[in-house]
Amino acid sequence: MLSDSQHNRYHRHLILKDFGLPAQEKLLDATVLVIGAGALGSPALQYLASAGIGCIGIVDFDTIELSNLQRQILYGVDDIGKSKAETAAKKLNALDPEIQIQVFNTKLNSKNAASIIQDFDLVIDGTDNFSSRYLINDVCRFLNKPLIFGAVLQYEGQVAVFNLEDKETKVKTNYRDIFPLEKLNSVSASCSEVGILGVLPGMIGVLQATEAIKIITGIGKPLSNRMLTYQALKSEFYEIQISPSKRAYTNSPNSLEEVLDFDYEFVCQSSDSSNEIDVDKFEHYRKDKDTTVIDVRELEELPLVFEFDFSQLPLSTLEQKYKSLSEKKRLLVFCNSGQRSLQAVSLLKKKFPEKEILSLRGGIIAWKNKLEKLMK
Amino acid sequence: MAIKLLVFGQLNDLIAVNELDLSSIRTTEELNAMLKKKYPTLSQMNYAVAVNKLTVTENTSLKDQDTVAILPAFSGG
Repeated sequence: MLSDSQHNRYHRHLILKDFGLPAQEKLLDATVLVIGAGALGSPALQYLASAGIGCIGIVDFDTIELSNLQRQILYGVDDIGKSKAETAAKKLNALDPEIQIQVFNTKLNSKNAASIIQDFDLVIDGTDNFSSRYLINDVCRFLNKPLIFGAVLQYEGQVAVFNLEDKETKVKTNYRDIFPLEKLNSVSASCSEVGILGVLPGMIGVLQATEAIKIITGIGKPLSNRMLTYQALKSEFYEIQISPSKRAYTNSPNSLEEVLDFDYEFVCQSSDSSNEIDVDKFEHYRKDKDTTVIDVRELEELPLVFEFDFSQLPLSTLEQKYKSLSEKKRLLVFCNSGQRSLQAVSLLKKKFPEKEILSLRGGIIAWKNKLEKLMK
Repeated sequence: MAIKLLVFGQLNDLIAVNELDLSSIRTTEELNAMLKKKYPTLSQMNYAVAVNKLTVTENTSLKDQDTVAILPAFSGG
């Protein structure tokens, strides 16, 4: 039974075809855990609270920074320095004082994940690193909880529903079926290194909340065994079907007990640190006399670099022109995001096995971002 | 024989599809091997391969007009 004010609040749901009172009551009885109250969590939390989810759990250990406000739309300048989870809870309670909010002002880890996740009906992953994502995936798999995955970088986002059985085929897949953890220390940039269009996680977070509402109420066809990609620059969606993979459980715990002792941070460590250096190290080496700095981007590429001297050797012609690099004993290679420069490092290492050859992690974009921060 | 290659996310920064000759590619393993040879960094990256919008986890033969998508794992949020 809804109160008068609930009747008023949820009126548009109540009159909606195929939704109505039964669906609204399911939402009011539901418990949803949102892990990460950042760019994905902000819009997801707001819509879940607006929709009338009875109990919402929020997990985040972080505090709010000015650079978050470009995309983490739950927060304002007055919130800087405060806890994300606690601030998010306050904002949601202001939206609807009747919903129950559980705050977990902590970092999810192997030890606490199962005890936090087990009390909720479904989980939304709005984290920002691979170790948390594989951990959440595995715990949800062992606890048999539907997991709504979302991830973003630059102009692209991915969203999928894991661990929810297809009613007809009985097939159930998860993150490991798409991305088995076969390569330890795989290379991948983060938003803080290569940027993110602020509105993009809004799109993906809202899609995550939409899937949650569909799964709880049973309306429509959930995004299970599928992954949807959204490319903002092209305004294109691309959907793939996920087939169960035989290699899914490489480097994986086999039970909830094994999760407790599984070192996710180790197996998910990003980037090949032996060939990569951060902006600070790059600055240090760049000023050394025995170093040549090389831009491997194609000639017209932006942003222009006028802050220091370098040689231009586009990756496409590197193999013909590498001879000009024979003088110095150290080569520092950069491109825009740090991907092509890593490729150039492997090519150059074959030509100059005796040289120290290093790639700038996050590329010149990370370098410029860091410089801008220092100027402020 | 022509297959279509779609590249997602940061893999676009690495792979220039218009520079590739895919005419002799007959299987997903051949495609992977060719890409990894041309772009060694790819060997260090975690990515999924989908043929005609279905993820493939084993070597899969390709036929004319097939669309192969390669999608990187990324973790931002």
